[in-house]
Amino acid sequence: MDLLNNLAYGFGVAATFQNLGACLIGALLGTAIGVLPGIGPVATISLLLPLTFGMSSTTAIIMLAGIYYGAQYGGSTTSILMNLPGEVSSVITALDGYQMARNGEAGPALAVAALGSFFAGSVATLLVAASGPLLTSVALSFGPADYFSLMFLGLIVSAVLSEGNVVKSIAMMVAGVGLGLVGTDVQTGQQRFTFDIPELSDGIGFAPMAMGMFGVAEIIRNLEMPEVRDALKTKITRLWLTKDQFRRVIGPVLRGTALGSIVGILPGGGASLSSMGAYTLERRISKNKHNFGKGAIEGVAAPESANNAAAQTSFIPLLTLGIPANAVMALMVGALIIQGIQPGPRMIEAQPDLFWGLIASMWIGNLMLVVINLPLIGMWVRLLKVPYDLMYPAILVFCAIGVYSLNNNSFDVFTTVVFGFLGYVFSKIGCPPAPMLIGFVLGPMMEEHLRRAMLLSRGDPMVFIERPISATLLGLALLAVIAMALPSIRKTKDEAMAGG
Amino acid sequence: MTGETAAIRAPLRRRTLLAAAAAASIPVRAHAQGAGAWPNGPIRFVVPFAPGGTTDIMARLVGERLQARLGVPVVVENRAGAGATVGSQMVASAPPDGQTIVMSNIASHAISPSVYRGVRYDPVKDFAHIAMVTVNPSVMVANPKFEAQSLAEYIALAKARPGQVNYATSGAGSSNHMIGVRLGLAAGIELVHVPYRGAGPAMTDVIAGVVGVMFDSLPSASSHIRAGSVKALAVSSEERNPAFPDVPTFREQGVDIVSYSWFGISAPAGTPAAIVERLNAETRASIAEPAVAARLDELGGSPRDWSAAEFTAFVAKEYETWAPVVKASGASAQ
Amino acid sequence: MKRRPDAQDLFAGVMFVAFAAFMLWLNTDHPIGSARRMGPGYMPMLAFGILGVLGVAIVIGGLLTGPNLIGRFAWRDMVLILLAMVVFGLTVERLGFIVSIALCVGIASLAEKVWKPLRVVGLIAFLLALCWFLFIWYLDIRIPVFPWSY
Repeated sequence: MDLLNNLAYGFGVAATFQNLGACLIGALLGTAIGVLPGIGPVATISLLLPLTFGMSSTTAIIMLAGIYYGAQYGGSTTSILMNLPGEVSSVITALDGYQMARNGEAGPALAVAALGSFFAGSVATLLVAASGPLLTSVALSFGPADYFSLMFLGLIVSAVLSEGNVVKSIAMMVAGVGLGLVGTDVQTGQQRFTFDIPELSDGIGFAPMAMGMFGVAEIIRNLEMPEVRDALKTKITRLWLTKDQFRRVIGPVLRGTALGSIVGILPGGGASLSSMGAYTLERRISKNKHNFGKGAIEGVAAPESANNAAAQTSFIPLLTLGIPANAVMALMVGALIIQGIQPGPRMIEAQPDLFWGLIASMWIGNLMLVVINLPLIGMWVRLLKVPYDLMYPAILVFCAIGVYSLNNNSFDVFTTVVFGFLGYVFSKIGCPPAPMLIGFVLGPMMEEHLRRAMLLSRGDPMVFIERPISATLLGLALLAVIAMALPSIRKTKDEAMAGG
Repeated sequence: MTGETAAIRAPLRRRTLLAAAAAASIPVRAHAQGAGAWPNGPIRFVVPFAPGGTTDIMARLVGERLQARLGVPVVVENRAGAGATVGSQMVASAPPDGQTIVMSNIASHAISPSVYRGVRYDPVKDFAHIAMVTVNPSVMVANPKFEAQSLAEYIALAKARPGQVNYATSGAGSSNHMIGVRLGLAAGIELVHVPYRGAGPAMTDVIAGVVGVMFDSLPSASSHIRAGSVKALAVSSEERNPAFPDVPTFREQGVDIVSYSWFGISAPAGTPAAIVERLNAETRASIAEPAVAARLDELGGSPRDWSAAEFTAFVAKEYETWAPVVKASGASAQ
Repeated sequence: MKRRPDAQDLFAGVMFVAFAAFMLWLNTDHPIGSARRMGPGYMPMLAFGILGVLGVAIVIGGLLTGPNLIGRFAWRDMVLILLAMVVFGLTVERLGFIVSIALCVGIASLAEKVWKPLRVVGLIAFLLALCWFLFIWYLDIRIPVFPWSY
């Protein structure tokens, strides 16, 4: 067995004192920056780059990778406890995770996030080891038309992310697409809707927007209803999953892992689409449908598994093609180049230490993370008992510093304020913020791929139907629209009858 | 508004500062003191691109050596945005005391000022250009299964099917985009530009065969050329690159294109001559160190041992050369 | 039968229509292009055009469905919380994060119904220590600390 030999070799590399230490430091740092709102892995890794100059390339990359997937673990904590998501995947986790916390179930929510992440991370790591090079073809088989259809499907399903009026959800999503277009146009370099403000030329920041609409707006809502939030504190009950909950999350974790592993390979939108897709899938097929959005444990298990699986498989394009899938991967390429290693298609043969050592360390790191995180749950839950008048200024300060540190620029703090205001107004008029954030992320990517596909097909829209991948995805989108329209048509009919 | 306020504070990295405080006196308002004491405190080295890119890597390589030579921390700070103009703007309006420098490059100081509206600095007058670090040629690569496997075949193809032959680049307004524009002008052919968000996604699509040809900087394409996943058709240097002796230049193939992306160090205009001279000398000494030179070589760049005056003249010439090409490309923001 | 319109939907619909109209007006600066070579204005035209239509649909829906009032705005809480962050953003680069955090917490704490000065001072001291430990010592992020740190 080649694979077993290679894995054994990898564990030999990863289990040295130095590499285990690097893995632990990376995982701890990652957890810390994941828990702190705003501060992301990109900022942390770029600050740590000079430190890695003195290490061997394998040790350096093990540590940086630890920060990356550690941040994925930690990111769920703040969104569950405080409704403070810093990236797309945490937005999805916050939907049901924060509601669970409000129902006094923060413990089980955090536990299932950690366990689901561990399971998904372990499986996805094995997948990278066993068939990384093979899976590369997935990334290469997606052309611009296919990406467009994938983004389109993502947008369509995002409309069902929230409860309530579907038309308002769709409007929020479309408004998000529009906001996503602010900034420099990729195709022509033209500035759109920037009012000549240089900070806007790269678009509105996602983290300031998400933290404003979720976290800051939530603080204002909590302040306005002191009786509700005080009542919550007394409700904290269990720290661990019940048998019934455990049974209920097995399916979602398995499906989330599978979906995340595949979608994560796609460079670009992979990671964000995976958790959303997993959530929507569960929402469609779960027996517990009516509970989604009100604190369904399935709604935490599925996206958390998917996002962690995707975090592991997103290494595939980097390790097999030398092409970074996102900003964190780009930083790792930088770290490798400084070490004198040019990441490229031949890296597995040329640097077996690095490849197999990294794979083994990912598995060890995931184990470390679950061991670190499970005992912390008690502490996190106790945090909810802190009186709110001490809690909310602290949240605000962490938000402010975190957002500032994204670009070392106060502009992002002001963006957070604007979206905090908007988020509060939206909550008063029944407009859900999650679809807006999804539209914001997917919209610009969709535009890019649409324009590229049309440019390459010389203006022939048939390209979206002729390519099998694209046609399949568009077919799924059509099904989703029909599935969405049916109940609401029926409902309107019923209402019209009842009202008439 | 934040640009200016940010610019007048020096970088403070607590732990490194403690080390610096031991060596020098505690740096309070560094710019209030004369140039005689320079460097008096950490030097803020602004990289106008995101971490991990070529500019960032170059800055970190050189910054580390400058730190050793000057005896003060050289802190790399990434300030990406608007084609490298956000970070450059910040340095242009920083106090000219040698405590703030920028990794100037072909985007920030030659192309972007013509592309982006709202750039308030003059790439020549608002800077004291200190030293050239390295220049990188670009390379034209093709998918191995693409119809055209040489520059001549590519031009012939474009002549046979005008307006239907594509090329990919890392983005609109990049130096590689400008090579495509110049190729179209020089050969009298109509090409379709397919811009991407960075070199990575563009290279993915060339390897996948979505687009046949791409112009990329040599360092970022070199591993793919070596692995055979793409074929190099032409390099944009004056002579063949020693690392790829089989790849002919554009000139050899009858197209008069010579183009380099370049990376240098610049400070705000008005920086005292003594500081400029010292920084120039230390930078040139840094890139001459065998370890640094070897690394730059691996990256496909050639160091340039230039005086500050030579570098300044070069930047002025680059800005002049590129402005009309940018206009012809239609990449101008307005 | 006369019924009161849904105020939430009316407000939301009008807001979407107004936003879409404003952005479409700004979008007149951008070339639309053709379906083959879409200009920078193509996608905004689609997005904000659709948004305008959806806004109108929401307004019509709001006129047809039952009463749904907009709750009261907690103006005071909202202004104080947002102001606290604005002050942080305005002061952090000039005065350093110690002063900024103190100001931010001070202003935000006024949103509590009963203002307890001692509690607030204690909170500021605790948060300063915590932020110092986390952000400066542990994560070492680039942020000015003292007023003279610029």
